[in-house]
Amino acid sequence: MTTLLEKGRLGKSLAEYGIIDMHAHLGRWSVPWQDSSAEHLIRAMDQSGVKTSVVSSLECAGFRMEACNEVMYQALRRYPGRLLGYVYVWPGDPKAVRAEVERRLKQGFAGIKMLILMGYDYLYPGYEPAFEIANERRLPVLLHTYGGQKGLDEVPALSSRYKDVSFVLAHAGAQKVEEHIRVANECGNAYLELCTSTATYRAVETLFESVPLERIVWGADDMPLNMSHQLGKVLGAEIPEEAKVQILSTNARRILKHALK
Amino acid sequence: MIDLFDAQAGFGGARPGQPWIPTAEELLGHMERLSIARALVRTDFEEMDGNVPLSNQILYETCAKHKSLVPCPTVLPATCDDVPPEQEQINELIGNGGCAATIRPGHDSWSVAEWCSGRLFSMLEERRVPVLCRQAGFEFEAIADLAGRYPALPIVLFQVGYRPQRLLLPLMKAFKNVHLAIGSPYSVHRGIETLTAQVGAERLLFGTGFPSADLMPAITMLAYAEISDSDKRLIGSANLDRLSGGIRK
Repeated sequence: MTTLLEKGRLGKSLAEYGIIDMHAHLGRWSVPWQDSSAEHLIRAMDQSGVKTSVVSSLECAGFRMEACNEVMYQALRRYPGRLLGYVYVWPGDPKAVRAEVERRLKQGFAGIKMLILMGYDYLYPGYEPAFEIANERRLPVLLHTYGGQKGLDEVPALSSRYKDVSFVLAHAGAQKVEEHIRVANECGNAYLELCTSTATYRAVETLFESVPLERIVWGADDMPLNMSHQLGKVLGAEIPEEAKVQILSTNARRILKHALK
Repeated sequence: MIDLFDAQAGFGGARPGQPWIPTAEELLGHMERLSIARALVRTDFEEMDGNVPLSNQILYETCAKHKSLVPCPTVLPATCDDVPPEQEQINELIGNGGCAATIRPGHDSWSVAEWCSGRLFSMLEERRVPVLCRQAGFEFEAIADLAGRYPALPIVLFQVGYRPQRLLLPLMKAFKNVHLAIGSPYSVHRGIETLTAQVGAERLLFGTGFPSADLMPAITMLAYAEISDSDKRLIGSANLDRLSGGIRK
């Protein structure tokens, strides 16, 4: 049998594994790419055979919440099954947040995305309606939690308040990996997502040895990052083959079971 | 399977507060596991490396024991007479089978300005010795200035992140002697495809980023890239072989 490592080394398709990317983006941003369309992301997925990406929009990140989500909605309609959506939330107006989240979930979005870089910490009251809805419906919430930046320390309080949310903590293992390990072990509903440009040496192995395997998921952060590059972290990790499949597919399917029916 | 010659690897250095000192044997173990045939190696991590002649000597001795490791020693201007003259450093590099030189002006406290290092770069250019520059240690303006003053000097940038893409692409278009090693943290959506289309695959070198980074991500980024197999072979090893083959011994 050809292993995942061997397939990656040879550039062979991984389509048989049903890989789920828990962290992707659409839209223009400060990093240039020639085309901002969903087709571009699908093309990156097809290079290696990634089945589904859960996406949010970066291009309007900040105050253009509705416009961001509209970009997403149009893409989700074009690629059902290949793209799932996070509702991007900007917490300036709590009433608008509740209305926008409810509207987009009716349209088929699968979760919620929050970005601490917008200048509001995750305990800011404007986010509460989104967390409440996510908790009621048992949805995943993707949080930007780069090691050493703000955001991660707020997760334990959120986790105990919203016990039915699956908190997907982006960029685990990029740096200060021990902080993500501490939070994951403290919060039973926290999932560590692996994307980072740095490919930090042995980060996947360290997480595998330190947190329950079912709480590690894979994401690419493409765009702007490179999906095939991000795959290499898991394909090349010195962990069992079954664990790689669990990280690339099984764990995400459990989190997204409401959306993958 | 694409033949791989890693242009962005190292061992033997240390970081403050970190007990791990990566070894050649660790690198070789990963190379065997991932079918990487050869690696151009520097002293890395560089943070605590303050004795260039000693580090280079260790690098040469280690590479002499392992034919798949090719030395990429550190060079610096001999302006203060504390290191051998530039010509001697370059002769030593070539005599020990080196394929390129590492420069780290920020770390070693010198400048790429003509008044400080003109003699060094003139000699490197004359011998066509490729020079590896960690981009994080330079302003792009300084790289452009260097590339413009020494157009026959092959410059290989490494440790380039995803954010400077708006600088990297015009830099490489403007200066034909600037190359990119694609190792970590170069993880850019369609980065290889874009650079191949706009500046040519012959300007890209496979690299991993060990010991800072895992080795496999750069492999999959290249293996799955939407470029021709011949371009993958250029990037995988042929470009570095071409550059090192151009050294005037």
